[in-house]
Amino acid sequence: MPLMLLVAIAIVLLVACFVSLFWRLVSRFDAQQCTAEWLDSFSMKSYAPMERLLANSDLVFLASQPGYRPAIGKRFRAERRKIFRAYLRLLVRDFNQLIRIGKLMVVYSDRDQQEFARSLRRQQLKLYARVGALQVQLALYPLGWTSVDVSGLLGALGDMQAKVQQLASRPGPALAEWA
Amino acid sequence: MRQLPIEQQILLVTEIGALAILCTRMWVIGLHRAYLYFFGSLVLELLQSLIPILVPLDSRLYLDLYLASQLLITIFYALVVLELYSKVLRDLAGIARTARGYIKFTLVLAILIALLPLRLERAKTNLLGYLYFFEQTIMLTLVVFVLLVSVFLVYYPIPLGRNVIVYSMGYAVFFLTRAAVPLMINLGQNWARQLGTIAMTVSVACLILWIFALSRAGENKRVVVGHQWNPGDDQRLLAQLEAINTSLLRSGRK
Repeated sequence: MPLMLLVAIAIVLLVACFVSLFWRLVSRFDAQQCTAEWLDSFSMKSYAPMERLLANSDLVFLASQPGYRPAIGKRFRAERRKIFRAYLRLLVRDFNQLIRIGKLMVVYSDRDQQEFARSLRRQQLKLYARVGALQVQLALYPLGWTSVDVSGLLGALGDMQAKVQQLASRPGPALAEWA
Repeated sequence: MRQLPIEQQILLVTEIGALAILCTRMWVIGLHRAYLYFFGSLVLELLQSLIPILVPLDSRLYLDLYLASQLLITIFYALVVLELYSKVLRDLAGIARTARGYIKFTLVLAILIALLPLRLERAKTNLLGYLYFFEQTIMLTLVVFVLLVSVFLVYYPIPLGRNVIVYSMGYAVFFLTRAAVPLMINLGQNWARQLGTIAMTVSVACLILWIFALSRAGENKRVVVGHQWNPGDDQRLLAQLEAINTSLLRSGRK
């Protein structure tokens, strides 16, 4: 019976995988989100504040002010962390959008883009790993861990933008054949 | 047909009817040329379904005909899946090598996964046992293969016709049932009748799905937007891609 149960669980898992996959397959891509307007409005500069949001210097400055109490510092850190998380969500959303555009360009390209496709996947994995590590650092931030380095994360986003730009500058994707 | 339980007799008649309708429909709308192996497997299944009507179930001839036809159908299923995905991935120069590499990897992985439950099997005592074993392994390979290729199709915005999605959905359910039922019977449970009925019901349900959902219009490749297929999407997407390219080149020059 335990064997039968195991088989039944495996089947249920497979069914769940298929349901989720097919649901994603029919709703996998919203071309409306990939617009030139979005690209024009996208700028790395929007993320510049992230580099100093969690820096210790602001807290040190605050602590040196008259009337400072530890409760103020605690609230300050909580607010900064909240803002940082909001920036992080936006950054991941923008990164995913760049990935979507990159994939779209790969699929519609008239020449093989295996290297580019591979680097897209690599960049994606790297960024998710970095975001995971950053989430751990953020969780430790209230305990006094203030050495949160976002340069790698911003670098990954910048790299992705550069890669997509690089692909766009190569001679024409074969868009017409799908018309 | 006298040896089949009553519910299976009803399902068998329904299946024969559904197979005949689907074959006719595919022929009429011209899909038999696009999906040659799929059409071939349906014709073979139709012929196989007729065997219990023409030949007594307890005869040696029935067993031989069933074994031969089932072997052929199983091989056709594998060809059906390869036909489907080679059609989907054809003409996509940008991801040609990526897709080829992924398919090779997926095929090997699917075979390895399909061989895993073999240790659970009872020893085969007759030809039918070997056939079930062979069929189950092929079906499980196909289930895993369809699953992994679907992951690839979810990851890349490959333009898909509605038929391809409907066709894959039907086969995913169909293969899963065909892989699970022999495995459960092989595990020695005494639910052969119930499991057989479930397998036949799923088979009929898939046929009905294909009858209603496969169409000539569903062959047009579309990039899916939201949960609908809109004929204007292609043109809009092309315009968007061109605008994206221009925008990227412009920002690259800045």
